[in-house]
Amino acid sequence: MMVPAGCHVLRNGRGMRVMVNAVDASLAAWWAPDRYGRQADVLARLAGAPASATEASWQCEAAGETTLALRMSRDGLCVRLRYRLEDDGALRIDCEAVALATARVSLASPSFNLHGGGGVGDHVLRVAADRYLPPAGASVAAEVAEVAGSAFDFRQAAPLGARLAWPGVQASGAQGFDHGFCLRGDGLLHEAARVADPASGRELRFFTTQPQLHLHSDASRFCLASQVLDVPSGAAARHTLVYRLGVQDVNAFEIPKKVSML
Amino acid sequence: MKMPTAHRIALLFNGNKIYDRDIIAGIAAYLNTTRVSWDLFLEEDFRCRLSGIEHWQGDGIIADFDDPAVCSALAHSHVPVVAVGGSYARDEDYPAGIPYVATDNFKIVKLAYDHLVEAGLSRFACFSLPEADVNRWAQERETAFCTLMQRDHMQADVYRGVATSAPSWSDAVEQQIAWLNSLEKPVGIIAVSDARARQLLQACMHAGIAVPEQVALIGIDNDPLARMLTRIPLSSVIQGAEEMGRTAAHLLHQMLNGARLASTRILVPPAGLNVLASTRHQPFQHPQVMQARHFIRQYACQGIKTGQVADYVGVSRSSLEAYFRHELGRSVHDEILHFKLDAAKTLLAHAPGPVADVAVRCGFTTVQYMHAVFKRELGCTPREFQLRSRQAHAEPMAPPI
Repeated sequence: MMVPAGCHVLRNGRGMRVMVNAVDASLAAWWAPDRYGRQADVLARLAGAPASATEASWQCEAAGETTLALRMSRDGLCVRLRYRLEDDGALRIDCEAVALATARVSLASPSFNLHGGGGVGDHVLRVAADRYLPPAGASVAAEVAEVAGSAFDFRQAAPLGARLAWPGVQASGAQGFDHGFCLRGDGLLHEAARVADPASGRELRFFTTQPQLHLHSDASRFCLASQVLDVPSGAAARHTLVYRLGVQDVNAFEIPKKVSML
Repeated sequence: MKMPTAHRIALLFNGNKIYDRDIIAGIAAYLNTTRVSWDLFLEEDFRCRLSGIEHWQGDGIIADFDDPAVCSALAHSHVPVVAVGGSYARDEDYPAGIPYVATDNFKIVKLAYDHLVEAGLSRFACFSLPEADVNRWAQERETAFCTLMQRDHMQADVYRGVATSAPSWSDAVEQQIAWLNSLEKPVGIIAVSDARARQLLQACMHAGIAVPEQVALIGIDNDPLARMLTRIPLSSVIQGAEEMGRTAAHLLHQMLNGARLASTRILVPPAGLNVLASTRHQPFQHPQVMQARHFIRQYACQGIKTGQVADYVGVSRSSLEAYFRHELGRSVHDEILHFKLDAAKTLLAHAPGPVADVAVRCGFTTVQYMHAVFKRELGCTPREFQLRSRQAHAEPMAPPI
């Protein structure tokens, strides 16, 4: 495998590989098996606005087989990122920021296509949110609304594409989602969303310590984005994200393994 | 504050099928999560009461439009109607002027087909139903299959069989066996429903055709009843039926609020794939190993021994052991144990019963033996496994605020 300059590859004990771009602290590739054990890169580049922190250059503090630590320091702001790839397919990202003056940190969020290509309209999504934030209009600020009875009620799994076809959803001409979801927000790490691709059987679980997540999507990719991190003056701000990639209902499809004789 | 008005809504579905029940469950879920208040009218045998439906003093109807009698009875309804049914390849087959929520028949068949391709098969066939007004969905699935075969430059082998009735039962099975025998093996077969898949699986057993080695079989509906009634666990496509129910309820809700949705059509893709033994095809297997595994798959839980497997295959124990070592890298006994362990895991994960019962049902001679196998293979006791999988199934995601 070719590893471009500035990139670092994490590997777990099950052959999963995640390539992190250590220059801009973004994920460059993530090879994960489908239900047939076949690997594909499930990351897709989504043209998002480059965030302030990602413009800065990051330095690698420590790099190992399953871990990577990056550090960025600029204008009195210091951000540390620790990546850890677990054997269960979880990529844990711990972020810690300290600033001399109030600052905002926003990290590049990965975009996924769990099929490894093609459309994501048939991906099914679950989000643990009772309320959501519609995209802000040109003149009006977005107001928090109940998900109940709307196309944004993902408390039970629903396909992305079919939900976009609900009446009124695409009135704004949107071809995908661009919505915030209000989460539990008690600061503890909890599962906020789950996306599955019925065709490949891959499933992504998203855990966060933040009170909100933002869903972006278009025809061929989706992004579960973390919030901008507000760093108070003279104090540290932290958050943790986990993206965990696995296969749906492993119970139902098991590669026969060797059973020894008693 | 304005009190919500309770609308009188009729649900015209055949509640004895898993697909219809899931749709009704989706409607109920929508109502439970919103402040919508509907008085629901559900009939066990709604077709008997269909004739006067146009005079019904209600506010709205959600109905199964796969049934042509329902289509015609509701064609001139004066109350808002949301149709639920199968998708059609041709636009003109949809009822005109009525919002329609469809299960995407093409995507269902494509998911099944892609799965068979991934399982290593290169020949395919479709087991359908005799053409009838009430099963246009089966014809649509057949059409989808033929479209995919044509796309991939393959011959589409479709068998509709005969409508089964008690007197013609054995004839029907004979004909199914004749069709199965006529197919070049190995072959992947998509059945248009789990009920149909179950019949074919039975025919395979009668004819001694190994599933999935010679015939890999997948159904549609993920019907627990079909799974329960087959000796070889049946793979199946899971339809997005609950989501269809939620969508239909949402559309009717909007219409009751004055929205005009006559031209709205929403196709719901399948929700998933339940991959079980009937499609765990492993190409290029040694014929005797294939036969032996077929036998083991059916009878492992009845406590069979290596000698019986060898007898079934018609070779000596030592030859069979040699074939197994060479092909699979394990002994016949290991293979039997593996199936017993799998069966025990499935039972423990889905049923709350005592561990001792599971041991008996899965052909373990003693509970202690099953305990030892679990400890060695999974690093936990059967009881721990049961508790762990029940926790995992209970509420997999943290409840929202």
